Amino acid sequence: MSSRSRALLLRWASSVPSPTRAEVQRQHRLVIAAAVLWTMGVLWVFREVRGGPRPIWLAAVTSLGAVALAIVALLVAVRRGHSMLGRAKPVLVSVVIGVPLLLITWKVAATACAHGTVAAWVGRSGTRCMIVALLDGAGPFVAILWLRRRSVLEQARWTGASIGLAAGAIAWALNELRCRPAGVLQVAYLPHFLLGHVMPLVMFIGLGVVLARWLSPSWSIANIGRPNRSQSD
Amino acid sequence: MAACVDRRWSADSRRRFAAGSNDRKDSVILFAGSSVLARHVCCDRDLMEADERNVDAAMERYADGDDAAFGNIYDALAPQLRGYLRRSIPEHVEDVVQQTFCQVHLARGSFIRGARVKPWVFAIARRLLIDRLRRAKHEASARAGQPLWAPFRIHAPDEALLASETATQIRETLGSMPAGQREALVLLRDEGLSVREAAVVLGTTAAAVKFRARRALQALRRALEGRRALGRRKRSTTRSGADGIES
Repeated sequence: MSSRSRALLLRWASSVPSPTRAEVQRQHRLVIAAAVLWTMGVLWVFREVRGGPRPIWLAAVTSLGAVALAIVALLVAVRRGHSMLGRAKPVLVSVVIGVPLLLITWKVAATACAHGTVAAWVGRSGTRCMIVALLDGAGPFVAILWLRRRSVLEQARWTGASIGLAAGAIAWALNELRCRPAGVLQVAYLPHFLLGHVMPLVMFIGLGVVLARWLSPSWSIANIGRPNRSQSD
Repeated sequence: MAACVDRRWSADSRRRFAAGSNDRKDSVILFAGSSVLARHVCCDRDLMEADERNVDAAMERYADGDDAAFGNIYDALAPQLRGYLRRSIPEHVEDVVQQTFCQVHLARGSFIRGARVKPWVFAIARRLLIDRLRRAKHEASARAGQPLWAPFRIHAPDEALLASETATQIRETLGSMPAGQREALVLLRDEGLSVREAAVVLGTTAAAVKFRARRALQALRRALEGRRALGRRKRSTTRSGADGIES
């Protein structure tokens, strides 16, 4: 029985092509390049890099902090560590909860060092920031989902959340560069901050959780090519 | 089998036996009653690690495009997978083993360089097993009467009886304990996974795996002690009955 099963499986494997590591890496490079092009395109279309009265040091500090946290989120979402089973749950949970908190804390703390940061920002509800952030993050989000598709055996939802977080953190970092205050140091005005900066991050994380089932391999017997028993007859 | 146990029962195995049970006799009965656990006794840790290194190397070659390595991976891991799956879905073992290796084949390109194959393959098998059990609960109930732990070949009739009864006791105890405890015990003691690997497969922490395995062993020991006490009572009753007849 087992030798017959072995023969069937090997025959099936030789008839059903599966990409080798080199081919997969080539595909991954193309997908990453497409995501980078997408993000650059969005950045080009909405190319309003912050100027105005906001001090350079504040823009640099908030942006660099956001970029550093986005890199951490990206590494956790894309790389699986040394195990085929992906990151451990404590790591994923820490990152999914910790990075957004750090992003918000960093932003608020840095801007609080400057004066007048929570003054009302009339006419800038944050809708535009939110839309542009969603466009910024869409490319990386789809790309990371594609890179990790059918590869997550355990903790699919937390992995999905970490993917959403990575995309949201990239969008956050780009928003930091772009969001132009109308007055002096008003970027941490709470309604604008929540809708334009925090909401896209939360939406990407939620979307990652919802789409987590794409990350798990298809367990359905009907959906994958199985060794056909009739082949041996 | 006994010679095999004597010859290849490593110090490490003995230590782990002792840690799992206060009474050496219990350990021997426990392991004598289970062909699977007895197989564990015969497996030297170093040999297992060497085998795992060979499988990891074969998987590296396979991921890089050497199709012939797939047979090596199958030969090394399929018997262990069968042993793992036989306990839960004896009637679908081959099907799930095939499914597992289908997944390995389809995902070979994404295999991480330097990663371990065995925990990955076991995790795939476990997910397939869960999926299968969820989809076919009625099939699971149909297998209730089938033996999960077959006694190994013993020549003496009283030994065979003892082993058979012990196997039944172990099977019943394993069946009644929580799935997490059972899986932890099986992966550690039977399949030879390290605590860390078993934790990864089960999606929990190493401390939780140790705790579950310890609880499972304690439950088995309690069951065997109860059975032994019952056996002693039966023997003394029989002896007193026989004395009464003789007098």
